[in-house]
Amino acid sequence: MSGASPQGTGDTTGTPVVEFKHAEVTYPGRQVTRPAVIDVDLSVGRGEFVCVVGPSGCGKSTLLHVCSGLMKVSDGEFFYLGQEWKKLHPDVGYVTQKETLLPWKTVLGNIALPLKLRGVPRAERKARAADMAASVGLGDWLDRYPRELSGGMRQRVQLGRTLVTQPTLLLMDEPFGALDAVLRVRMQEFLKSRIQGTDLTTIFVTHDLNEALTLGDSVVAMAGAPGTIDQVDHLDDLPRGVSPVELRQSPAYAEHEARLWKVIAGHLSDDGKALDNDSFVRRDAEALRAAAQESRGA
Amino acid sequence: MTTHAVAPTRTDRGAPPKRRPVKKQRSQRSAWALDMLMLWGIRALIVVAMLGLWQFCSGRVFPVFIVSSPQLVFERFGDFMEGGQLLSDLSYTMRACLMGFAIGAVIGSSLGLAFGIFESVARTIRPFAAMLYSTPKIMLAPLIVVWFGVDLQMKVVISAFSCMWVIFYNVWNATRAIDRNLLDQFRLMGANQRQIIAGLYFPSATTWLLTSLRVAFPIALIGAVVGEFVASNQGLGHLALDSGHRFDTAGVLVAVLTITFTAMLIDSLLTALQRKVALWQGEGERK
Repeated sequence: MSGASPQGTGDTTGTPVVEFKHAEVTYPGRQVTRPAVIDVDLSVGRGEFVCVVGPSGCGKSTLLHVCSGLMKVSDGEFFYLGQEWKKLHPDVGYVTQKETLLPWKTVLGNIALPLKLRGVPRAERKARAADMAASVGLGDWLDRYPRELSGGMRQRVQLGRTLVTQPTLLLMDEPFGALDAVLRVRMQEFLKSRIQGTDLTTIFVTHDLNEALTLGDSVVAMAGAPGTIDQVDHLDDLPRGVSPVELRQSPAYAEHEARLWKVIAGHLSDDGKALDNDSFVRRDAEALRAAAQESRGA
Repeated sequence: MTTHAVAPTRTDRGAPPKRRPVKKQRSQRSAWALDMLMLWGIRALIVVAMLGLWQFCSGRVFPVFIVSSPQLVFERFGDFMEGGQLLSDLSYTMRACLMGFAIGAVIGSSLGLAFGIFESVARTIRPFAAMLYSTPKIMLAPLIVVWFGVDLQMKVVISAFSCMWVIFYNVWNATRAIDRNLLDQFRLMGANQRQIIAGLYFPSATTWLLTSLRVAFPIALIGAVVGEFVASNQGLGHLALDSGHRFDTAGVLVAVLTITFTAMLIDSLLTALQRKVALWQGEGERK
């Protein structure tokens, strides 16, 4: 397992699932076009679980959009499974923070939806969706509508709908952000149990450092506006298979937390948002960009 | 900042409690029945009081030929029923109204859906649609008479043309209100344009359509009645107009009340339909 590598130099056995090279992404259609992220170098190998942390507005979600194929890089390169794609990337599951269940479909109907869209025959998709519903713990709730479910259950339906097609890449954008603390820990454990032992590649965006350290094989810290990757921490030295409480008491955990916190908080203004143009962050980013251009020119 | 309260977590993967929707207990049910009885009792009292006041004032405070009286209205109702005139007028008006309503609903919702799907077309045509929406449609009645004559189809056209705009705007708005994330999700799940329309646009528009149908129906009715005002020799609009010309206040009121109760009946049917179709929305709106 290579771990995310900022230079893409890590030992990637086989093609990385996702690879950014000096990528810059700009949202179109605004009067003032300012890139959302600049100079992103990131490579994620098969089966890795990468968490992306950083303050709001630093471009975490933008990275996921590029990974899914919904957005294209405006500069630099991006490869999905070693290729550049013109259209949306196949076999990507995307769980958004905002719930996107169809309110007029039941739990079963929602989970079966991607199978239906792919033309899986009715009987088969029902069976597969029911299996998936059971495995996300909603076997007794098949005929319920989303409005009848709690927030945590709706997120599990979303997860089930995403996993039912057996995606290659799972993108999650603060999926548990709206849940209370206890439920969040439960959902984290649940997610881990679902993913363990599969070669599913996961990129998990969160603003919660603890969540990132609990879940990830590595943590990518982003900062700045426009955002860029500031630090990548590999979590190989963390004890695995222990309870969250034990994990958080380990010295290695505290070390990672302190280091990553410094990266994130160093770029925070008082209101918790990523600092804007007029701040030193901009100069930082400019400097980074200049350095990158220099190195590219060389 | 490293002191995090972590609640002990069970590892049973959060098996959901087998919780059925709460059923009303018997005591709750009888309380509810009592409540409804009270409600309807008070409503009946209001009606009786109003009718009593009306009957009392008629002839004593106001001249009978101006305000008529409940008794006269009831008698006139009997007169109109006897010859079958009322029912045939009702059926004529309802035929014009329902046909216009149906045509308006089909055209309005198809246009709305088309505008939602073909955004560039919508952008071009928008001002024209706004213009037609703002036009008082019944002012076009003379023109419609020229084009379609004075028979039933003229009333159908006025009715359809009046009510289709509300439906059109509602359905169009529904398609525009579709969550961007949901659309992205559909595309990521591999949906093609046809699947997006059938699986996302259509169901999203349905709820708005049902709501707008309730708004549109009275407008369709106005269209049909106005059509009869313009030119007709039958229908409830004609009956009201004709009675008015003869200073038969009771006759006007019979026509108005007949059409009102019919419209209320149809509105309650539409509400029932809305509840049934939009089951997923919740309990529907309460009375």
